[in-house]
Amino acid sequence: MNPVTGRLPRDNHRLAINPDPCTGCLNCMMACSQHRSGGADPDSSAIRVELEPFDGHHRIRFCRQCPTPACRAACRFDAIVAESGRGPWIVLADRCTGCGACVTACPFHAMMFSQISGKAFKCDLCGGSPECVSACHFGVISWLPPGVQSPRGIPREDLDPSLGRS
Amino acid sequence: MYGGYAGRILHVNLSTRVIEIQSTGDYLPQGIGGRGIAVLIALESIRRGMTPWDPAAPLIIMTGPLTGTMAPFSGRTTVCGLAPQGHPHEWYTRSSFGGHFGPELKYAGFDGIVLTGRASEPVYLEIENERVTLRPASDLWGLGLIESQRRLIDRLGSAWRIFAIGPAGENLSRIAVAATETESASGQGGFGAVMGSKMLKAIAVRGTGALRIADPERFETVCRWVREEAHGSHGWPHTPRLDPEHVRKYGQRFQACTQGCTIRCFDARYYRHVPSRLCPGKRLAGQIDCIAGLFPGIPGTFYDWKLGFEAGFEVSQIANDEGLNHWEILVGLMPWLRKLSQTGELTHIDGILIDLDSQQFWVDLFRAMSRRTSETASILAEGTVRACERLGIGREALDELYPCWGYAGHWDGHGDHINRIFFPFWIVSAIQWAVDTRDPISSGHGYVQNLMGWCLENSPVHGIPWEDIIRIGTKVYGSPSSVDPAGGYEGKAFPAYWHGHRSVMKDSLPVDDQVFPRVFSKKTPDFFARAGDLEGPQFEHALFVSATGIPWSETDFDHFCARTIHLERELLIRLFDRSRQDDETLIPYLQKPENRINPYIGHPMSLDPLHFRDVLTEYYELRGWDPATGHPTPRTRELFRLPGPT
Ligand code: SF4
Repeated sequence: MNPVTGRLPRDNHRLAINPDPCTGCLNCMMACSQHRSGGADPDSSAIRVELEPFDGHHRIRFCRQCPTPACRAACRFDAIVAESGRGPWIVLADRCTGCGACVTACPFHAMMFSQISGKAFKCDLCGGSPECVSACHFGVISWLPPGVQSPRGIPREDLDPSLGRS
Repeated sequence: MYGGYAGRILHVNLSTRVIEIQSTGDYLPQGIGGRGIAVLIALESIRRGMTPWDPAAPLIIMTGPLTGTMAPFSGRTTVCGLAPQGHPHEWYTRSSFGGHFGPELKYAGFDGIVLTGRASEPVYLEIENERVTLRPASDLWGLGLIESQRRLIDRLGSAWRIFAIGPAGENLSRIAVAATETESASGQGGFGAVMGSKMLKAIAVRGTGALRIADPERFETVCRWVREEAHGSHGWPHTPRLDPEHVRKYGQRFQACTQGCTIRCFDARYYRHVPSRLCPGKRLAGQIDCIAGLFPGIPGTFYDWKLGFEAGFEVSQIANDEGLNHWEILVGLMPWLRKLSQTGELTHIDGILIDLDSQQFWVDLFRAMSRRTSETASILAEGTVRACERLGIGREALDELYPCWGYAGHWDGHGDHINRIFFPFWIVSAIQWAVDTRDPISSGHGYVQNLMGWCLENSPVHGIPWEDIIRIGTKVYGSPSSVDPAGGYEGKAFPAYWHGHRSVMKDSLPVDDQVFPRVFSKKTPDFFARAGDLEGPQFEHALFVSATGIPWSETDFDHFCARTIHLERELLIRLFDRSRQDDETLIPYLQKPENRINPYIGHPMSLDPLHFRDVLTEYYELRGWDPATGHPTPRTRELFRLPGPT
């Protein structure tokens, strides 16, 4: 983190989401929760897929690791810090009072709140190898180096041009 | 409590409104979950003479230890009870469904729900973690299955999952489904009508709890292996793709038909914006799974109606909303009506011309059936087999389409023309059908679909030669004759026996039928499925043990499957005097020529009753049933600690 600007370095890998091919399988959430809690507990997942079975546009909430995050700015207890000084942003449980200001502040609804611990929690990128990325078999979640654009739309390899029915 | 379980079963008496909680542990480990626990409950509570309409008859909705975990293809739930669709008896049977309802039920703290009684007015059951409430549903009664879900979600919140019925269930149609989301139905059996008879419109659930996993490290590893090995649906060798035109025009997407699915499925597609033909300007969204792909019709085939994609899609969504069973409509009722209209036995239904190319005909018929607004349509709502009896017409056509038990043909080489199977492989299906109470393929695709999907006749580009199939088949079934395309009746009893066990596994854990068991693979040099330290057929056991911590060997697991089959048989004997004579019901149906010719034989085959009876005897002997009666022998009763006739 730049000590002057308080920003994360620009060369960090980042999570990127292409929601279009999402099938609603929830593997990402289950893998995340299994990793975080050792059990099947979608409410402990730091990525959330909100299913929309009646229109098919599933919404995915995930942390963008913003350079200057709103959650951090909202926290009066300095509980949100950049891990190892480089990021990702993490919540220090011993400083978090559970006031929920960060949860309200995040414009992406990516700060979660645990009813069990009474504290906020968020995506910590699993130490640089995010479980959700390997759990998603549909190309929705990518782990991208700086400068690489997230894909959009249905992946080309999922299309069969010879089908062409009407 | 073992890992994977929520630990409690909810008992709801709709007559008295008494809600009780039972420990799932009462049925563990011997019942496992799903179908395995359901039969234990059924043996305790279903009495001879009960019908599905009897308020005391339970409707059992059971998840299993893998539901809601990260186990691949595991978000399913199994529904069991006396089935209105069953014929000539309302046999006790099962019908599973996907979506995300079962996992949510477990996060709310329940492994299953047992419904009894009948409410005095329409109600729905609201489960929010500990809080379980019966609420009035008069405002939902009469609404479509999808519309009811929308209303409840508007009221309760988008995180809620709903299992509901449509007008067909309310009006006790024997082909009524209960379903969640737009397409995930407990379809065969008519369980939607059982819910309707209990005046229960829907079950809404929201859970925020967690499930413990016994051995998280091993479980995660096995999940990863299974996920990475399971590369195509239906055991098929290649991965399906989307139609670019449908992607652009209708917003076509792959869609998981259940939580935890990681494959691009042949069947499950979501469409985000399909123009309505009936309401110009309106756009429809919804899922098409499995047989619903047949709604548009396939001109030039047996299913030659010409609705086309847009009309067919709309019709499928209306069938879903009305709560009608797709398989029955598409593989049974419509081909039957077409034959009757061709022979002149029935040309109009209550004044409306039978015209399978007309979207309006389908929609009007569905609404008249599900709401029972006209006389003949109301009779058709009883299911085609009973309609044939009541109307006194169409027997010949019915005998071509319906093997037995009230369900239309399914992978048996005769009734359904959609599945590409030829002799001798449908002999295994025939045994499966004979000893079951519904079409057995619901969880019994493993043999027919794997062989027919992987052979070069059906998959010329991606399939594998018969010599490889025979090598692997010999390893799995112990005999090359079990999978030899030039073979006959020999070696067919064992696959039926083995896949019977796989079926129980799939309905009890539960896991998806189209994916398991893993046998063939394109990811190993010898085409036999394996991953990590496991062979494909061991996957289910490895998931079960690592999730639950129940220290069963594969032999113990197999013993559970066999015992569940014996217990179900025992129940049928108690309730209906089920016997070998019943099992042979489908023989005349199979004596007609098959639909597809085996290229290694060169002419259409039909069932030889003498040979088939020998194979059935072989099956009974393997199973430990008396070949004369089809009942478990005293030795089997002892070995499996069966409760015995009462
Ligand atoms: S794993 Fe991928 S496809 Fe499945 S819900 Fe998550 S983002 Fe969607």
